Amino acid sequence: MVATEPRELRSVGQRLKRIDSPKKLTGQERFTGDLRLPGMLYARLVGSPYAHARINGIDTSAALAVPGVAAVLLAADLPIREGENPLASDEAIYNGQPLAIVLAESEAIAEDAVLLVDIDAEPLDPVTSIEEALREGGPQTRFSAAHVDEAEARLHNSDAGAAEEKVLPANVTNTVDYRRGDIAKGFADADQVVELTITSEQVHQGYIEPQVTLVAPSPLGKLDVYTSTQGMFVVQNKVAQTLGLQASEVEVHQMPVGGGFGGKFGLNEAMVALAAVAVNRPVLLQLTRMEDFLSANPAPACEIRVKLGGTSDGFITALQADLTFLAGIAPSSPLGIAAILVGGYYRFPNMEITGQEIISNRPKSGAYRAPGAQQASLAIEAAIDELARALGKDPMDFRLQNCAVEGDERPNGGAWPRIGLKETLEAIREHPIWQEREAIRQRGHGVGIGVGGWPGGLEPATAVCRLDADGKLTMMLGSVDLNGSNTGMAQIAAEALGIETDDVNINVGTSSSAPWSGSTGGSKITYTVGAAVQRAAEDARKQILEIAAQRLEASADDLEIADGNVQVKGVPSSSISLKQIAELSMSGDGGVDPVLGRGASAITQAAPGFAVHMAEVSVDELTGETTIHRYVAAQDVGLAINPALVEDQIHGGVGQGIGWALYEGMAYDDAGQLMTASLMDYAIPKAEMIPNIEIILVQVPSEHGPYGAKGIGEPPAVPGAAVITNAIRDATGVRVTHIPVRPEIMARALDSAAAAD
Amino acid sequence: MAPQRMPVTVTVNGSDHHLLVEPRHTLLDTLREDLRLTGTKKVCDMGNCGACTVHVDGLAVYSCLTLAVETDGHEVRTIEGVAPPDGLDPVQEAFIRMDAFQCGFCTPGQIMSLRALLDGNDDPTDDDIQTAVSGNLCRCGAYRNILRAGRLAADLQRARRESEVAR
Amino acid sequence: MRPFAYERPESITVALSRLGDDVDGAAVRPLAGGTDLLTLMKADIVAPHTLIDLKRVVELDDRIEMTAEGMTIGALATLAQIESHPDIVGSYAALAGAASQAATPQLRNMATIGGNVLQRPRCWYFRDPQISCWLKGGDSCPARDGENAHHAIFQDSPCVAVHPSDSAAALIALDATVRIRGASGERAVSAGQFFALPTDEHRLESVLGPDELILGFTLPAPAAGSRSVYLKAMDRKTWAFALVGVAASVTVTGGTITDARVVLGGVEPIPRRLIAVEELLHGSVPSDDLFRRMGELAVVDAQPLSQNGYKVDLARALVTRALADATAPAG
Repeated sequence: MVATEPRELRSVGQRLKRIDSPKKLTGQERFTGDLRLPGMLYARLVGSPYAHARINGIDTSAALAVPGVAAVLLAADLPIREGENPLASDEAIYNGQPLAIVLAESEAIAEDAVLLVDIDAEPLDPVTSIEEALREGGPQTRFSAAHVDEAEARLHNSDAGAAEEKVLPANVTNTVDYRRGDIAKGFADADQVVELTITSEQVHQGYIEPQVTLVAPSPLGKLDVYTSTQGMFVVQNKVAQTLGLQASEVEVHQMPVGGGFGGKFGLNEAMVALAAVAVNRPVLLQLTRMEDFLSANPAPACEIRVKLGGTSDGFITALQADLTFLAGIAPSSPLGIAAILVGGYYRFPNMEITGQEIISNRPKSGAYRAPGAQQASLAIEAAIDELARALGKDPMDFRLQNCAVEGDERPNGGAWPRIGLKETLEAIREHPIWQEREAIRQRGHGVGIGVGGWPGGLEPATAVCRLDADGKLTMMLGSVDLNGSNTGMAQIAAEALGIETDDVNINVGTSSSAPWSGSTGGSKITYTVGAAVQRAAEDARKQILEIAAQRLEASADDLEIADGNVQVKGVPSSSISLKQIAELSMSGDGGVDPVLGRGASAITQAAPGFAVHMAEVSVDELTGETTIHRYVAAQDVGLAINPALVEDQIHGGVGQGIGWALYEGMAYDDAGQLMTASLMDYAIPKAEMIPNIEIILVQVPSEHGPYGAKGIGEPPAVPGAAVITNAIRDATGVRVTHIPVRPEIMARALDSAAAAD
Repeated sequence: MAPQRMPVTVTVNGSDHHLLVEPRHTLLDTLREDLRLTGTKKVCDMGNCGACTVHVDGLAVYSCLTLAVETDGHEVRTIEGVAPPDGLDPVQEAFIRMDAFQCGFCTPGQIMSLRALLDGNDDPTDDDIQTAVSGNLCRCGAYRNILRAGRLAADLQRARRESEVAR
Repeated sequence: MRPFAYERPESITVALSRLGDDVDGAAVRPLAGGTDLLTLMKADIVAPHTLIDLKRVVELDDRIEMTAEGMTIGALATLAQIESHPDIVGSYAALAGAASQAATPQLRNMATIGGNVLQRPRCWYFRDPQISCWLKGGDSCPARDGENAHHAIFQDSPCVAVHPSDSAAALIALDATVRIRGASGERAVSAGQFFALPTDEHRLESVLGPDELILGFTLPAPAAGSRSVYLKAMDRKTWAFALVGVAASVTVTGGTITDARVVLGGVEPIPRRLIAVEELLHGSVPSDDLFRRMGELAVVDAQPLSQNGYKVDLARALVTRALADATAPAG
């Protein structure tokens, strides 16, 4: 393939305004929960009052007697064909687990009826903590042995790194084991060894729009699914499978998503579809905030022990790490990713990383923006900071001396491709805050840095485009735009075709009409779908040039597209407009094929993304309150298709990182009851808690992404907890190892440090 | 108990509505279900997020903690009633220029909070703006741009007013 | 919410005649701002069969007036009106500070001062309808040995929830009087007496009867040389209930403290007035050392639970800081 001539980019790289703006600002945008269909019923869930219980019976008669209640569905009422029933019947395995669905003419009526469903349940001992789960003779998550999947998982699902297949203890569902070199020798060679254990709590994605789905049986025999999801084809397949339908019988309408962050990958669509089919009426389920906290798919709690050794000339000799994730009721934790990242940012000549996943009587875990990476970064970056300190090294120099570069081996085998970690560290090193950190310390503040990496996501994608009669391009996609990525797609298409971004219309079809695409998640949409968009537009360009060449009696190689016209290079007088080409291709006697560009991407090499953040903080020693004064985020983005949108992602990632670091945690009591089931008890950062964020874009182009772009969504959400706890360490001398660092945790850490002095 | 319904006359975005509502229906549900004004969002329904912010008699309130019957005889303004017929409100304009929204779900509430501020204060301080949106959650992380948009909106509003005076 | 009836009387006599518990035990409850009551009803913690909306009762108002005797505040005055009223900001800073640090602008536009002091606790066991708790009529308190990081550090009640109102502490520190109207007439209770620890017979946090209404509050004119402050520690920078709050009002005359009222919030089911601290302050000369000792004294009887020992430190530190702030040279 001939390399494209380097040329100046016109659309790509521009700070263009979002193409979906006005509707979202005037209240005109229709989200799933805003839809109403004739005959539609409102669903409300009856959840398990206990974390673990034997269900002896459910009496729905009083609920059914409420005027306006159409049905109260139990597990046996759902026309399920394959897979696990979304409603529990004989055993409830987490607090809030759906046991029944009430369907009524209004939400208020459905709520009335929920209060009248009588559950005869007998509480059982739940598994609620790592300690309980591993206790010899301790409780099990389920009494029934019917769950073959899980037993199967215990037997076979050990990660690739496992030394040998083994039967795991009860409640343990997954292990990892990565080794390199000679760990004992590595520590023997070390001049200093540091060891610490970090713990983090279960965290919720906190999307503002709750999980919401509307399913309508269509009179034509299909099922229409309107839903807030990050992957409409995932939903299509899951619904079809569950109901025993052909995929083509399920049409998923991709609705605008009011925040997903990894949490919206087909949680409730099958359940709502089953209910809709059971009563043959449209059913809308929008979870209440409490239901969402209780029964959606949060990120699991974890504990990571790290031991790190290094020499006085500043080299790391050995890493030993042990990770434990407390997943929900089924194997679902990001153990593997976390293990790879703990051992991935630096060169570790000797390494032993072990880990286990434990299941508990909590809802099944889900992905939350860079799953596993936040905790992995906290662990390794805290240890690196402490080791640098112990060795008397500058933490930045120490990182630069040891950081991974292209060709360095990753824990799970394979070498890093070209990555921008080093360049990103250097960008932070040059920043005034880092240069002036001594003076900042004099003020009683502290400065911390931290690395956040993400291996990058991959999933094939396709795109199709056509030249419309008005000479504009319509690009058809099957991927979900969460936060403005379609504006970037328009820029890529415009760039590849040679037209203005305003002349590109992005059209996301339904699962029946759209070209297939992977889900939006893992920082892969611009990287993979963007590549397909670029190819589709290039394909269209080729067809357009061929038509023009024929009309202008010139060689296609001598043509260019400018100002909406195809012209002979340097001879604007010899030209034909795109509109004329479109009209020609659509007229009976034009004799040329209509323009239909096709693009596909099946990239097999991910583009890992690295962020390095820096924070200046102070801690109120009386109250334990941490204040972030300044925050700097540097990130290797490959190439910023739209710097404004990239910065938005970084703002969001930093905000969520601050949430991890200082505020967010889901607390359960010993009985497995969720205590923090509201946005009052669960603290999502508010405007006052997010400082000004200075952004430095580092651009080390990727090999395969469109115009060198890399995935940019996850990396900025990764380093927050590491950065802030490192800054707290710098400000106070105290190493906090638990996140979130609520004031009381900080105060306790300060106290115990004072007591130790 | 059979739900009792009560007559309510309320002005919403300048139009009078005569409704029959159950006392337990919140203003939020009434706007969304009875008037089909769905720009006001239902998120927490407990006064913890700000997505349902509307104005009652010019004050920003949570419509999820306001009963529809309480608004009898009052004036309600929602996100649908903010833009002038031929364009956008300065706050909306500023949101575009400052890129102050991402997924767009909290956005109507944020705009209503800033609009309430600017209705009473043409020249707010940075603190005023931060306080005005302190009762509105955003998870995508648009906060800093929302604050910038608040400043710009005040400038745009003053400029509009001055040009009106000039004419 | 369960269905309920709604009435909007214009006279307080009618309103009072409707309040209370019916013979069958169903409750008729007053509605003002609704910001707490509606959340309790939505969570199914309370289920009144009728709400009496007070906002059109002519005898109730939102007036804030400075008179020769001091300040009167109508029960329907909102927190937003209070935080921005120049006389309150100028002369009753603790109350303005408490109001401005509560909740959010929207909630402060809605919440009335009368309702604010009558808020029920935010204890997550109390607010979870699936969990039985003593305050809701159950046998025992699950928080005592449960998740109690936000709970009481003084143990004088079977309940370990804490009072959520910032303004309540400030009103006590400012020596406010609560004016109450019942069927049999009007009575006045000092703010300090208005709040009462819940008992087996009376599982509520105030002495207000189910058939009584708060008319308003009267605050004495501030003495020359007096200053007041409200400090609040939260687990986040805004929009949270106090982990610990301190309201302090101190009068310094000729370099000596001649009067002091100090109240802790967030430490037990009602605001806790620190009488011993006040007595020792009286006649003392302000100093950092004195305030540190007062901080110690404030928590001398504290008995923290398994997860809230930090609140003792917080209370100690905030009392010290509040006294320093209230006596710092102006400017």
